[in-house]
Amino acid sequence: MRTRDENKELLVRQKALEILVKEGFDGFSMQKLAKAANVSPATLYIYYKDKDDLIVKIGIEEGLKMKKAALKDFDPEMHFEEGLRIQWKNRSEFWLNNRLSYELFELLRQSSYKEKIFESIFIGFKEKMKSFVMNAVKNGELKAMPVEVYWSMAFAPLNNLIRFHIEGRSLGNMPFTFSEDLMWQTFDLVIKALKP
Amino acid sequence: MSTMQQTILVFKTNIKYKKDIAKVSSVLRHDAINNWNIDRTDIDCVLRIVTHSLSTNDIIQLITNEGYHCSELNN
Repeated sequence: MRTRDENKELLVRQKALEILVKEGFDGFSMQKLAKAANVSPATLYIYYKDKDDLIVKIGIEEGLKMKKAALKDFDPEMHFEEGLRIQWKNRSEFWLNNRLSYELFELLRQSSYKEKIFESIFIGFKEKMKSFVMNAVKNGELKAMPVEVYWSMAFAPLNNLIRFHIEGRSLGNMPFTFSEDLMWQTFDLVIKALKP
Repeated sequence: MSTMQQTILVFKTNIKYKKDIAKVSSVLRHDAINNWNIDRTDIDCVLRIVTHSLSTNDIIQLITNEGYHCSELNN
């Protein structure tokens, strides 16, 4: 009977993430992963059914980590500004410290794996975010608006700062480094726009 | 979920195309096989079997009888 070794599995996941981000889905193979993680291909097939199964599982794993990080210290009952501030703090910390996850999500977003993965990540998450927004509107802390407009205001500006940072470049190829000052400056403008 | 001990067996094969999979799927639809799949994206066309009673040799026999190569993917 083969047993699963936790450390070995962690190493396999880390290497899988690295290869996926570096080589893309087409360039990734179980053989490459086996070599990089110093395990046999047979061992990988004990953990995962096939390449697709591996990509989906790694994607879900990273997504759940992100979800957990995003919800830290967050409560849908919070005042709007406070709750959104925590969201920005949590999300920026996670993406800045987990660059490979960020790049994996960029790949997944444009792939056929997208639905399978995002569906299972957003269970419980979507509801919390929704009730946060509904409370804020009810309490007169947020203008009522379509969800797409809300998201484009509330999170897209942050995501864009993170993207500039990860690419190392902003507009016109100017070098760019993320800072908390810039983030909170952006945040204040967002709050101004969203408040009734 | 079965309470019986399940084993995962993995094999190197040359079951590469959809028509090949169709051919072996009839023998793999076996009472003692809980689950199987073939990773056609892999260079070794890995066949993965979840079973509670079949042995490596049983599987090799099933597949080679269908005219395909099948050998244990070693650890």
